[in-house]
Amino acid sequence: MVENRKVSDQPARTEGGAEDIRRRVLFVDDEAGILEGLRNVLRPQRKEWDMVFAHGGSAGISELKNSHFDVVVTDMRMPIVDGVSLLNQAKQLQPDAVRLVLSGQTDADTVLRSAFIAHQFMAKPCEPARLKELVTRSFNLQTLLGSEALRKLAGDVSSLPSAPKVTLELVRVLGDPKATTADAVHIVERDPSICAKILQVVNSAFFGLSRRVTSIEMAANYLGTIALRNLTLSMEAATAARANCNLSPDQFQRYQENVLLGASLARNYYKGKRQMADDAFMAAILRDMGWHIQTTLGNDGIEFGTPERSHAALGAYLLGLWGIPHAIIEAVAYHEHPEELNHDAIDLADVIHLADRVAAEVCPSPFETERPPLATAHLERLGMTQERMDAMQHEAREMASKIKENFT
Amino acid sequence: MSDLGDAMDPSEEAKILQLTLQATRDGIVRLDLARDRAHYSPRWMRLFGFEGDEPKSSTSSNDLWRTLIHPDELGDVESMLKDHIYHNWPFSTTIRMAHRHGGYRHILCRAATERDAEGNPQQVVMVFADITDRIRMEERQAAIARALPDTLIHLDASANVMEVIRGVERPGSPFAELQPGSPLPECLAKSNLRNQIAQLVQPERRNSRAGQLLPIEVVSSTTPGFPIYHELRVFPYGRQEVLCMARDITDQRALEQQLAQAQKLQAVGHLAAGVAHEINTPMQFIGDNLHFIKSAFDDMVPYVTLLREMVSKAGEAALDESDLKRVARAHSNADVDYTMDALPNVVERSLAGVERVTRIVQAMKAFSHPTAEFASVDLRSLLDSTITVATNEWKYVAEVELDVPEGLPMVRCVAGELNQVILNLIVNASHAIGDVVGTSGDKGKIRISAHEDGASVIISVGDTGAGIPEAIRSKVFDPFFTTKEVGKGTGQGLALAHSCVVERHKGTIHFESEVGRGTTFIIRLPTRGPAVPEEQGVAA
Repeated sequence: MVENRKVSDQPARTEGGAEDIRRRVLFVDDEAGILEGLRNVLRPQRKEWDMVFAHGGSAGISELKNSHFDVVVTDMRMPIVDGVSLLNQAKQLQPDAVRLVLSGQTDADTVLRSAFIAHQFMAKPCEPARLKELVTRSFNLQTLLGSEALRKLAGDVSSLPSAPKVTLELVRVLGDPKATTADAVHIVERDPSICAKILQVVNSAFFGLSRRVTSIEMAANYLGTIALRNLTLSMEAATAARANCNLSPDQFQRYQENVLLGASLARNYYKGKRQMADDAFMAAILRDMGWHIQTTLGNDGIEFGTPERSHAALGAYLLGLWGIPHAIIEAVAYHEHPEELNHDAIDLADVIHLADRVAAEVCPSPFETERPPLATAHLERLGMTQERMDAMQHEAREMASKIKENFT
Repeated sequence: MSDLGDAMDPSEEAKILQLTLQATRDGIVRLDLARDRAHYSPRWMRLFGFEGDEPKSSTSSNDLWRTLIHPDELGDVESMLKDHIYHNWPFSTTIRMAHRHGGYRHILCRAATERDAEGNPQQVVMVFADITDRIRMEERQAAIARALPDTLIHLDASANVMEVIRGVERPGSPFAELQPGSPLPECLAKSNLRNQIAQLVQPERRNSRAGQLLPIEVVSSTTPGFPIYHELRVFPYGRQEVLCMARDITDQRALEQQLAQAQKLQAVGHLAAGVAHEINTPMQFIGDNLHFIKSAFDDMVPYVTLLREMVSKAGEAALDESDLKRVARAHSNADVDYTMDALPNVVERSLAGVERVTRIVQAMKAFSHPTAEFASVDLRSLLDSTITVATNEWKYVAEVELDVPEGLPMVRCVAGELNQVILNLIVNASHAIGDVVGTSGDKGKIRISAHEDGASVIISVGDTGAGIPEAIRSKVFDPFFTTKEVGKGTGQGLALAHSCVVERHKGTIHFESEVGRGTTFIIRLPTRGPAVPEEQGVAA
């Protein structure tokens, strides 16, 4: 019935002359049955979503050339134009569109291959509710980052440069039969870019894990060292293509030191609470993603400033696209201004904020410009004691030298 | 000397003796019993490292030759020499004697005594031959024989066991108890050992070197299920004898089997991923369609309820304007038109999906024969299920054509192994075509056929790929040979296909290839199975 032609539901496009404000979703698959099933099962969404169903990769590309989409959902294995090529086109034509994969391939290799072009993956068969949830979440993220320019900027990022030394060392350790997973984990934890990529892959709906993974150790155990190695190498290749990391090696090292110090402080804050400590560590590792993106890609004519246009929001948005657990995204989004979160108990964002400010005093980050000061009043209002803050400062001074040693 | 022929005249004899003394490499000592003195030849002196500056004769008490004999052996030599001199016993012994520059030499020492008319000994001539090199050589050979894990069996032309130098043999090995004179172990008697011996004792084969005859493989077992494998190599030895080297290759066989098993598991894992993909796709839309039917039904319930209400009301009174409006609204809310339009197709599509899943699951079941035994097999269904199971391999690059005539006889084969061979060929064909068509969307063709030819059936799998370059054609069946990128091929597929067809089924496998046109693999199998049952383990 849908063979070789697109099928679009258009009941409300110009109803009463009002402009169609529905979100636009493009589904691409080479199997007509899949498109038909999706069209039927998603019919209840037609009032909020304007859905286009393209039969095959080539049809998908012409849709992308014709009109704008907020979300693209594609199959992976298709003749002529496969999922990766389609998404590459989507990235060029419409960088702000969220790119999702719905694939019947069951090997982790497929995920690894598409991890640098797709934001998230779903495995067939996928519950309609889960599909709806993922698409809806993509819309919500787009609302969070209130600038199309910034969304385009983030959409253009497939992975961020990591320190070359880290990659080399990691590949060496992963190839050494005597090295343990723990050795690899220590190296990975120094590098925000690799951390983010690993969490993206392991948290993808593809693996169907029932719990969110925020610890690199758990992720490494789950993926296995071979997948970890392949991921690191493809990451190297993906970023080498646009190798203009505008940080000098010295700046890069300062960035890593600052990130790691903040993360260790945040982890220690939640000593004894495993899940919270993992979340805090990872949120702090990833907290300056936005700055990293901007430095890597440049920000021609993009203005930062308002909460919807901050570095924090940019980082949080990208992490959100990658399906990083929500707790971490929220902490990243609000860690510069935790008082905007409107809450009345100490939260992850507050701890990251504190750890970030304390770390900045001892090991300032190369991005340390025009940062808001420590929100002392806000933290005290939530019940943070002066002793607790002093203790963290003391700990930071002790830790800093150890961390610096670690990098030389 | 007189044994050699006519007696010589004494002067001639003396001359020859003189020449002999010059020519010989042996050292000579003359013991003058009457004067109790010993005389040494210059050669003897050199033999033990003296350079002529030493006394050439001495009394018996400080006889130089005696002082050189290894202390452990001196006593024996003395008593043997006495027996020789006074009882005329033969004297010939191997002893160790010290060299002047250190170390002992192995010396073969012989003696002859001159007696007077009454038989009283007058003088003794002792000949010392240095046989150190020969002894070392023998020791070395013995050490080599001991160091070899292989068992060496010395056989005569009629395959009688003459000598056994046992290597490392596990309990139950036919060579563990083998002795000279033992009958040939049964596994050897049944092998073509005799045949090879007969060939090797032919005069023109006597100088054959290793590798001229194929090794013989024998299987034996004292515990059922734990066969012991030996590989025999036979070499000519002397004129009418052979040396047979028996090497235990049981561990090697076990490794090979593990490797084959690992390859099979890997292939199954790969296959499972492909099959999963073939199942996941229909499951996605079957699930979606059922969700749709469920929600369509839920939406339909209030509408049908209203209609029922209206029907019963219509029996009592006429329906008014507001009733009709309610019905129209409910009709629109329930999305009736869309549902009625879509439903037949949704059901049809789902049923077709269920059929697809069923088909592949059944093919998988037919494909995974649990037993590894010979049985009569319908080739059509074997080929059909293998093609179905491999769908995910070929469907993006090729069409598959299956041509099996009606009435093809059943073939005696091991289905679970033969379908692995066919699968490997289909996967290779798909890769070959994939390399040609790439992502152009064009499709190649895989032609699979089977037909009868005398007492055989011929199965062919042909592709429209790039063909096999001339240069690598001879390596195609070699283990670990692959042209595929790392991770895509292990180089085991065709090697295993070859061993399955040739060794297990006693068939043949070869290919015809044309660069740019494609490759066809052709398998010939005896319809009634291999003539010699595999279990007897006789292989050439």
